[in-house]
Amino acid sequence: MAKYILKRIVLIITSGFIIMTMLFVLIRLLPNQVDAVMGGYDQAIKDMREAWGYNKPILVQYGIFLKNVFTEWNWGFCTTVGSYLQDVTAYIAEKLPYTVYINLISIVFSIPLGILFGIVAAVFKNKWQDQVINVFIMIFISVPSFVYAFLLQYYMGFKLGWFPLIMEGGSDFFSASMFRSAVMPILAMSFGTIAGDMRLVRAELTETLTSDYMLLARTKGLSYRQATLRHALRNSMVPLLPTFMSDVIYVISGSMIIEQIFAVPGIGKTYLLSITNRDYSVFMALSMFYVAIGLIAGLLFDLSYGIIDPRIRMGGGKNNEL
Amino acid sequence: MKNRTRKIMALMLAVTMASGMAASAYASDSESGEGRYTYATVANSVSTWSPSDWEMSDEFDILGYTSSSFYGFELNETLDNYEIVPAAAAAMPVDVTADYAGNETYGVPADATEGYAWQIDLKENLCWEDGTPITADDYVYTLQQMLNPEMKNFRASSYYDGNGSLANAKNYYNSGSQVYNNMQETGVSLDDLTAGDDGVYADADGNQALLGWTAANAYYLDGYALSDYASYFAEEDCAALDGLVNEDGYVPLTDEVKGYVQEIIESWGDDLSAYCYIDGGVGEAVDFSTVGIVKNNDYSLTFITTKPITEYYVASTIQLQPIKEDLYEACKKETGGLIKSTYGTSADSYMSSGPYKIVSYQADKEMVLTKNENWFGWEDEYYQDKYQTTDITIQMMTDSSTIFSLFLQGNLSAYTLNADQITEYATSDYIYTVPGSNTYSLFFNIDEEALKTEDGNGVNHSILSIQDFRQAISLCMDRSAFSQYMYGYTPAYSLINEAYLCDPEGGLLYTDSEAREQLLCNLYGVEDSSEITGYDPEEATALFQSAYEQALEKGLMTESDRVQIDFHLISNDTATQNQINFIQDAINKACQGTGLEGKVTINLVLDESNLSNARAGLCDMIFLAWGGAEDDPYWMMLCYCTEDFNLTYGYDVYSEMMTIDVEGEEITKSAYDWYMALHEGEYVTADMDTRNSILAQMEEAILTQYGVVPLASQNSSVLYQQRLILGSEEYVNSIIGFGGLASYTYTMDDAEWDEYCKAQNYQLQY
Repeated sequence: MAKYILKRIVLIITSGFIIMTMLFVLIRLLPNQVDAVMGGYDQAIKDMREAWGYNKPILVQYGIFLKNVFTEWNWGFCTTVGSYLQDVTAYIAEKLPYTVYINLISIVFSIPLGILFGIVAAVFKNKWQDQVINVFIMIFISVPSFVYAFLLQYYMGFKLGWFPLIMEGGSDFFSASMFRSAVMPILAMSFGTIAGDMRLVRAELTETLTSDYMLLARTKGLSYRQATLRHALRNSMVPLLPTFMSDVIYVISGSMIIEQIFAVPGIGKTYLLSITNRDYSVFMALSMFYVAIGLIAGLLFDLSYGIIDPRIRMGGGKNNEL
Repeated sequence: MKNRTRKIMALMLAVTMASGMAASAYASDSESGEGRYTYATVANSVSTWSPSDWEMSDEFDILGYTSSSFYGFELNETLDNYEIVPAAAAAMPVDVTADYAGNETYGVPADATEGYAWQIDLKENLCWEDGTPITADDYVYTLQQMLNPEMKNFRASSYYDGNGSLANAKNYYNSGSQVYNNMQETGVSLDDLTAGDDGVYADADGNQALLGWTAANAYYLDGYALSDYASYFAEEDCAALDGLVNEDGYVPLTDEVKGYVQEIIESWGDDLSAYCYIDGGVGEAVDFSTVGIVKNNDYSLTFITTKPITEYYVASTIQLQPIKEDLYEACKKETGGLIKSTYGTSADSYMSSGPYKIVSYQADKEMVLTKNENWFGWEDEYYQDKYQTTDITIQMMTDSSTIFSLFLQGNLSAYTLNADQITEYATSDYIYTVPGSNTYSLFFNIDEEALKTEDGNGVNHSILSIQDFRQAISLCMDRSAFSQYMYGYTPAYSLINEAYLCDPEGGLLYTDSEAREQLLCNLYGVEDSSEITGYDPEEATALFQSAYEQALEKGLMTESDRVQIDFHLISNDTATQNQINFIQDAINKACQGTGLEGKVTINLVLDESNLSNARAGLCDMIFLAWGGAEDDPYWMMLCYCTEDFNLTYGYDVYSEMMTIDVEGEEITKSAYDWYMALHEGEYVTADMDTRNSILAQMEEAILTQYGVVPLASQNSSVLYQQRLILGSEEYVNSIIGFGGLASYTYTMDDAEWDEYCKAQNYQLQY
């Protein structure tokens, strides 16, 4: 197991490095970060470009970048987004709490509701309850979350006036007004997760409920509810837990469009801003942030199978033989 | 088990209901807002509002709220123009050129009598927001930091370039820097160079000539270096050039280097000298005391400029917003080889000297400003009935539907409508139209050879090279109908529109000048410009037939050929499709009864690089607007008469000659030379009528070629909050707009406004 984990970590580092190299080169092929401006100020821009090393050969630039990252954890500084000249890492760290706040509450809502409705759909398979839930699953999975975001904002925010149209500023995350202002983005982010989890729970549980051991459990005298909750649900959780884990891991990744619509100052909105404002240091750091989340999440999913179900072993060694 | 399940269910229900409970519990929150008048606006994203480094207009707005220039542009009493009033200055500037005439340090000519040196006395009650006084020393420090050679500040050029450039400012800025001077810009031709023993060319003073290959200071072709166009050159030549490049990205110019690039550059219609530089050596260390700012006493300064300027330009260009020394120094840090300051990036790193101060700022989220009680203006009689606005909030957001909803709820003071919304709110009492400086025009490829390469398979493009054809396109379109069809547009008949001031000091619009009136009459063959429609379908039909016959005669096309005009556009949205349909319908109608009937097709080509492709002769037609610099219409000829900006392929700005009547004398120059003469040459200081006359004749010379056909000016339409009263109900001009924030008043305070909005269920009707 340790060898497997080590191997995966090496692979992750290698993949991350390759992606980082590709990103760096591709970004440098884009129009200049500090670009020429019609009508003046060219000289200062050119001087800044020169001083900041944008005119050096790409490989030299990359060497400097790697040295800064690996020796000083210095990912550069903000030029057109955030506060001018602020360290990119500090800037991202400032944005992270907003994204985590929205996503975490969304997860706290979504996973239990997804499980609950999934159980109902499985238990009442092919009955009206199941049909209703299936309709919602279809709608919420097929319609992108930003569509709900607009609908929620228009009806619940503008027409009914229940919630503020945009998220409140400040950092008092435990205030009721902050929570109230975050309700709509939380809901917009939750629908897709709830529907996805419902569908998975329903599928797994439906299969489990028709297993032979369920028949055995019933014949031993367990009630339908006892058999479902004690045996079927627990067993069907094995393939589902990695999915829930991924929901939790992606808490920090944010949703670009949702954050944009509700003016949430999180990293999703920042990522979009870094593209439109051509702040390539921020873009590079955030891209690697997302890449790192993806790679680490992949490793954790794989490992979680073995932890959740001891019958599953990894590494391709003899121990895996049944 | 049963109990546990119930507990879990109950917990989930509780969590689910939490948001709803919170909603109802706090739905009625509102602050009092009595006696407060908040101007609420939005911005994209603000990075810095430091006087030395701001870049975007949103950032300048914050600087404007929190600082005072020497002079302010305020709405006059008759509400029809602006007036220049002393702000931080105690009085209007005094011309003291006579005191500095012949001063060698500042380079003032001995015979100078006016315009070079201006004394500005400061108010003695200027304060920072913390109450500490502002004196002349603060302004001297500010200028020194703006020009600091170690900092390379973005706004440094405001004081070493342009109308307000100060003596020795550029030398001070360049102290210790390697200087490369572009040969074409400095008037050095290749013929002026001689090859040295080492084969490297040098100018008469022995300064080496270099090709800007990957150089930072060498920008060509949309901001790319020459090396970015390596695909045009032989691979081995590029490798050779890369091997010769110095640390600054320049290659010493030799015959070998010329051989690699000269032929290709000339095939682009360029001169090699445009890509070559003279080594100006390392800028000498210049002492700041030689820069054109003199402290007379604690409340008096004199500014010495590199060229004579008028009082208007003193007020408009020497706008030193003071920087607080201790804070600026504390914010300094080294970033990648430059000393930079993070002054003006947070509420704590900035000190206001203007009517408002920053209360709070959250990056990428919001900024709140309130009245600065230490601003000198509150004691000044002139400002007593101005600045009713007590607070300003700026939300950093870009989603237009969210912004519009916030506006309709009463949470924003203004909203700029998009094209679709203009239709809906066209009759609103609260809509205000801001004339845009952008003139949208069709730009054609008029080069016969380039167009011929596209001909074939019964499809003709080269008929576009015939002037009658292009003129027919111009005349077949009813610009008034186009403007009604495309909301927010107004008809355009020439290149410079109603937004431009030819006399910023007097507020006179170029379009009101006699010369411009004459231009339109000449161009459209009418007695009075008010008769112009630019629409003559009968003449257009005749011209289409004439063009068709000429094309047949020249062998450009056969009778069976159809004409296809490739229209390169970046996107294909509804507005774009409407424009194409309009142009196509107009052409179809005008071609009826001619040899081109039913044969001309506008073919949409989606092309993200349509600008560079137009310059390279790879498009038949594009639709683009030039605008900006509303107080300098003469400078706008840059867009039509310089190689870097001209989009009419086949119109060579260096060889196309214009004969212009200047005060009775006919003078012939190339389009480029006329631009230079008007912008920075012999006619810069000519009287306004002469300059207007030259400009109008330049416009006429360009427009009669029909390589560019102006179609419409795009205006912006803004809805203002119902409680807001603008300084002027009518748009005054591009400098003062509707009067600015200082002149805005409110019919309700924030508390009353909130009550009003509540009564409308937070869904205001506009």
